[in-house]
Amino acid sequence: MENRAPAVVAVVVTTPPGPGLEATLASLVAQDYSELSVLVVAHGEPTEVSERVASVDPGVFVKSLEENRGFGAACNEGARLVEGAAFFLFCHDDVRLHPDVVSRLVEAAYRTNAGIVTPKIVDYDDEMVLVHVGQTADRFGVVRDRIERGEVDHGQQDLERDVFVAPGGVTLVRADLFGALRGFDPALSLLGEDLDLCWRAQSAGARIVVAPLAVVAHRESIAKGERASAALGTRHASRAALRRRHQLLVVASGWHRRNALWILAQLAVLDLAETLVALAGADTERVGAIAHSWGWLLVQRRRVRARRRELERQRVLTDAELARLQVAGASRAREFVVRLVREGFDRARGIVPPSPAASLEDDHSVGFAAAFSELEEFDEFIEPAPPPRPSRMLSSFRSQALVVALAAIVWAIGARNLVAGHLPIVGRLAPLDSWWSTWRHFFASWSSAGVGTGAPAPPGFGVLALAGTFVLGRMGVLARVALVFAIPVGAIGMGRLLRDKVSNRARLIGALAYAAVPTGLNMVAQGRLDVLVVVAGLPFVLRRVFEVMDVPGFRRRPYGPPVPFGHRGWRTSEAGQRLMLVMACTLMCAFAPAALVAVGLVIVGVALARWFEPDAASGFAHPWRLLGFVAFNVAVLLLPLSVDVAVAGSRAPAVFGLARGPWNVPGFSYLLRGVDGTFGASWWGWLLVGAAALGAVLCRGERRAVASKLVVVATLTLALAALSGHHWLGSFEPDLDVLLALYGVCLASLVGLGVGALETDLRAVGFGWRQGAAVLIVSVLVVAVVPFLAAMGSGRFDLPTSSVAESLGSLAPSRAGGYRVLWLGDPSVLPTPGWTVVPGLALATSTNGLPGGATAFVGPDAGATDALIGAVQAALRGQTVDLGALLAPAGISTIVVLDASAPEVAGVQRVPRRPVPRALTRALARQGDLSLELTTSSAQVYANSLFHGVVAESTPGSTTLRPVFSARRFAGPLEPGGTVVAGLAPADAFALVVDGRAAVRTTQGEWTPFYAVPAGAGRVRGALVVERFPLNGLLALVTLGIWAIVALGFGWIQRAEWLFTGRVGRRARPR
Amino acid sequence: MRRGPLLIACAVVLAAVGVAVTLRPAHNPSAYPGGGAVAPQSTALYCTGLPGDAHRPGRVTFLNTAASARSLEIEVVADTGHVASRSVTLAAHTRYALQPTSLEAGTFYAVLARVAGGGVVAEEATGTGAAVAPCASAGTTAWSATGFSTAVGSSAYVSVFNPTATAAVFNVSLYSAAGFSSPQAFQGVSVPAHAELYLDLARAAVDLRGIGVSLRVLRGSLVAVGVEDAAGTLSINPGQASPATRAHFPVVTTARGASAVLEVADPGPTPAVVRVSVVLGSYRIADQFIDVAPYSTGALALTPNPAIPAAGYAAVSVRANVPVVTDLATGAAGAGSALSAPSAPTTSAVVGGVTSGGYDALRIVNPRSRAITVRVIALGSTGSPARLRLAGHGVVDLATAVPGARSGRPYLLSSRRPFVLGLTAPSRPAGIVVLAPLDGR
Repeated sequence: MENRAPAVVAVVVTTPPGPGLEATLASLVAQDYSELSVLVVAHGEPTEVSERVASVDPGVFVKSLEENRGFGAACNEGARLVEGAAFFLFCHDDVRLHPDVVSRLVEAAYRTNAGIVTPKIVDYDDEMVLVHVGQTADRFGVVRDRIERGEVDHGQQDLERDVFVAPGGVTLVRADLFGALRGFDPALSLLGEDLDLCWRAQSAGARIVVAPLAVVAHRESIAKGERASAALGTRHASRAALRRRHQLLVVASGWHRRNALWILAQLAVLDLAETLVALAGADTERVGAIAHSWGWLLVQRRRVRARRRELERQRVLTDAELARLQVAGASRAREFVVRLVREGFDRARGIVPPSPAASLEDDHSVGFAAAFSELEEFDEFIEPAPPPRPSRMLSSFRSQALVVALAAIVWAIGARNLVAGHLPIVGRLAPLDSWWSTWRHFFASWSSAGVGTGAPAPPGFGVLALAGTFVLGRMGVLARVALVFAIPVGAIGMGRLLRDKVSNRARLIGALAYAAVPTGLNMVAQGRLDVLVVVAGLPFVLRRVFEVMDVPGFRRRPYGPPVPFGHRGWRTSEAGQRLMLVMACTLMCAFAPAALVAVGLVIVGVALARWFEPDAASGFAHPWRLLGFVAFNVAVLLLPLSVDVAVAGSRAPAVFGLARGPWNVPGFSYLLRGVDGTFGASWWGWLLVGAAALGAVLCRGERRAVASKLVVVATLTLALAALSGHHWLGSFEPDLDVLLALYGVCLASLVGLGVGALETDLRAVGFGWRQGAAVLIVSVLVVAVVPFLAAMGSGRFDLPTSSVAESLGSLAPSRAGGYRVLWLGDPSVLPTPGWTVVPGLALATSTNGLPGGATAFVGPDAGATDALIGAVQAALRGQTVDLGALLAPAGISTIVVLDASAPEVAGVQRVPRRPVPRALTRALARQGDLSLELTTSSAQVYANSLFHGVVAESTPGSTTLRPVFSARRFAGPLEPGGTVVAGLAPADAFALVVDGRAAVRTTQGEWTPFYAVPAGAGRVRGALVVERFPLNGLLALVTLGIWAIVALGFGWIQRAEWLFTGRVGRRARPR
Repeated sequence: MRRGPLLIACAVVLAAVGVAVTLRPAHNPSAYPGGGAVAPQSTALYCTGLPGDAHRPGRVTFLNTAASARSLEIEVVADTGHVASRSVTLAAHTRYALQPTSLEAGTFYAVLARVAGGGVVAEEATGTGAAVAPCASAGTTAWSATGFSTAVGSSAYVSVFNPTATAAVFNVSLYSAAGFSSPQAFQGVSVPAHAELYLDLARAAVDLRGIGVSLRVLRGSLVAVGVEDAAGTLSINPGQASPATRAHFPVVTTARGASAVLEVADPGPTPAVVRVSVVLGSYRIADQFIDVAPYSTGALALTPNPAIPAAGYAAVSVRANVPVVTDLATGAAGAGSALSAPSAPTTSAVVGGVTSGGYDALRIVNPRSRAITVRVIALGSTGSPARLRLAGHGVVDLATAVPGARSGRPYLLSSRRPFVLGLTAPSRPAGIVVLAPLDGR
């Protein structure tokens, strides 16, 4: 059986004079492919062509056409004449084929099942210079080469691959495909017919490949203008106009109708911009070409519809699939920007043409044409252009170290007055008690918070006491450490978060961006130590969550096999890593329980992002299980707080934060900037957000996966902050500042990733809007630093020098019997934690003066303090005019209503105002037993005219109460037969011991205990003593034990084996 | 799925949340739901300006509208600074009248009553019963009134009581047709806690008519009333908390021999153009206008007025381009007149507190363009309430709809939407004693 090669018919289209025709025919005749026939389709005088053809090979067929309708029409005619061919090889008459071209093209066609195959096209005069190795196109029909101009062939392109356009010259087309496509569009007489054919072939599902081992030299004499085209319809149009109008035709008919309209609209805008640029350069030819192309398209609208119908009939690929085969963006505009950036505006718009001298040293400066034209003469280069070199700024270790040192110095200058200056009582800066007292608070059976409570002490006391141990009991240092170092530590965490994702330079910029995020600085200014702990720890936690959830690039190596708890290697096991995450969360939640919500948002955000954009390599599949795991274990590690939450009932959600007044919550534009305070509230606050947004869009590959997750987390965070701030989520209102801290982490991470994208991802794609965005990011980051520097002036980042609370120190009444101050205000301005009265109004108390360390943490359960809350609520609703009488049993001597945490001093200190509900001011003014003692712009102080001390006594036969005992010690002389009332809750927590015997205690339906002092002769001595089983102490001990076990579990149990066995020196090994 | 949908979804979520929270911004509330309506634990009532022995002694009448007994701790504060106390328990739906002169001597008195619970209302009346004003349940930080006269034979005072434990400080400004003044003696006046004082307007405005008074509290809060003795006619003017662009006088006499003058003060810097609309039976009466210069006062005689026929009670509504202070001076022609404040729109009111002689007129006006329904129920009655439907801007005679109302039996009126209630006591000529209803809350 005969095994014949498929028949190939070479159709050579020639237009006299065609100086390269003989060479073309000779190279075809010399092909090593046996089943090749050659047909010459000639325009014009047939005799001359026939003679020239016969001089090369008399066996070549010649077909003469009377009219020159262009290359496409000639090919169609040639194909029509041929029968039985498997492939057509359409050739110009100025090409020279290597002897194996046809065989290699056919091989490639069979091997790849391609419909169209194009060879590697090299320069006709110097075959070492590449001209085309296939081409690509954008959605606007602009064709681009895949190689550098003037690129020397070292075999670097010799790889078969798919291309979008097979450039004209020599093109192998499968005959059946050619027939199905109905050949070339005869309307495209010159320039663009190759794009059109390939576009339709791609749309019909045919592959187009380049076979680089097939080498063809192409003179491109018409494209270069060496020969004039005599095709019909081309005489009144320039080549640029022809190319543009044919591109428009292809675009207008190559997409579905709706997409076509949209893309044409974009193209119109681009062309308009190009027209303006051309007009600026007095380039009338370009303006004319643009105008001609659109005018021609309008004339051809019927043809457009007909072509689109035809295309729809053959269509296999959708528009989206087709677009995926193309290069993204607008090639022409991109090239213009490249020229603009590299060579200036004049060169970009083409006013300064490339001089021969300049072209030698500036080989890629093709000026005008390169900006907007596809004329192939600009493909001629002597040397290839060097690839764009990335900036070396901040790329060396020395420069990065210098920046870090500079940042540290700048930070030190900015925080200089936080080191030793006075710290006002704002936010959570109330002075801590001594190290020993802090431990006592942790173990105490009774706390003075509110009107007193027997609930377990929040574990924050334990963490504080532990931290105090590291500073040798100097508790005052802790607040300063947090103020000064929280943001730098967070910045370090940001650097770690970005490790392995971006370069050190990008990490550095991300870290600096985190330092400049408004949240951290506003929290310093407001003295919010609890949120600052979150600011410091959240980047570390975020990295840990990403690692546990196997976000691409975060798990540096797969988790090994399970290791028993406490053994070496357990820490790096999955269980160990999860527990480390839990421990970090626990540390933050001990200070700001809303951090658990933040971690939950991260987990949910990652899960949601994966739903949109799955991570193929990730094996993590149970986000909800992880969320539950973290929540449960944090609850176990914070056992006392969990107990408080469990008994708090409807107040339980308040553990995450108290309800702020919606009128005090920053507006949505402020939330978008991450601003809750004075820092970042101006226009520059948008800069980081803009940089982060651009970063999110620029990222590719692994960075893109991370960026997507950060975007979702940021979105969830903002949505939660906005909705809860308006109380649309009920009483669940996580601390807004904690949420903004998470948002800040997302912003800074995206900035870092964006910088990484500038360094890496942008180099992998062509120039376009991304590069413009890169310039924008860099500019934004530079500008964003300026206000930060301005904030350093005070040396304390706008932390006030004095507080409202301190200025009220002189209002203290007699200390006999002790007294309490009732603080009312927005939760964010209270000097100590409290409980919600109504949204926007919280209540807290301090005993015998200003708030202190004893009330640094309170649980969500108000306990008996509900009586005070109820009294204030009744006043707010107009249900009482005797608020003083209702508060008197608690020993409330003074009510301080705060509209700001510190006085505003023009030009000296700025303080955010968060006014109380106006209803409160009206309600207090109605009270007949309260006297307004002081009114300032930031506070109102009312004195309770019915105050009688925390512990009071009524003598027999009288209902008048008088204070007894001292403020420091609940002990002293009593009137026999009298009644002692103690404003100390719970009622069963204390016993009154009178001369060694416990007095009878009743509550008379109130929350306060009443003690009947035994009658007798002379005054007796009594003392109030706590009388409770030390359950809280045991709970605290258990909690400490759990902490110790978990901490020791990271390999220390095994290392401490000698403690139990007495054997020293034996290294424990994992089983 | 690709990143595009993800970014779009995020943008949509953010946009939706942003639009939602921006379109519904939160406002700082000046009141919370349930104010006064839900079982108050304690309330207080403040009356001031009660005339003492120098005039015919006035009295305070307490009315317990609640269904259970209420205990009252009453303090009578004389302008001398002396305080007398009395504890009273009021059974349900009962009244208690107290004449301060029986406890302390003084020129003017204030009465402070602390009530355990709510539902007790009170009103103060002059000795002749020719003027009645409700007692306040809270202090205010501003007060205005107009129409006072210090002409020969008349005297005018502003009585001020400090209901709080805070010493209050206030300023007083006066307006008249002659212009504006802030008398030195009336600036920075201090009132000790739970004390009463009165200002004699004649000290600063000698021999003037149509005097407007504006009191601004700098610190604390106060209860204030104007007391005028015009040729022997003593009146208590509760005034207004603030100037307003609208005011209603539901019962204005047009009787022959009577006089009714609308007094207007413009406390602001913009000239006031005041449109006075009169609704009188089926007569079509053209709107009247008063132009009042800035910081000045003006007046419009409603009776007698050639444009307004003498045909019973007219309902007068006032609308101004800027906030103004309005009062109504009524009396017999050629004799002294009594001042009364406009009736404030309210959702509940009590009638029948003090006038043992009953009422001459009880009229309800709907100040809105939409129809309202007013429920009327006799206190202590178990029967179903009467329902009065008022068309937009309509007027209803309560005495006609509820025959017992005219007798002085206490009735509680309530509606979901505000209404305006006007009362007059029997007098000759009719309608010259205008009374103020009690706040039913």
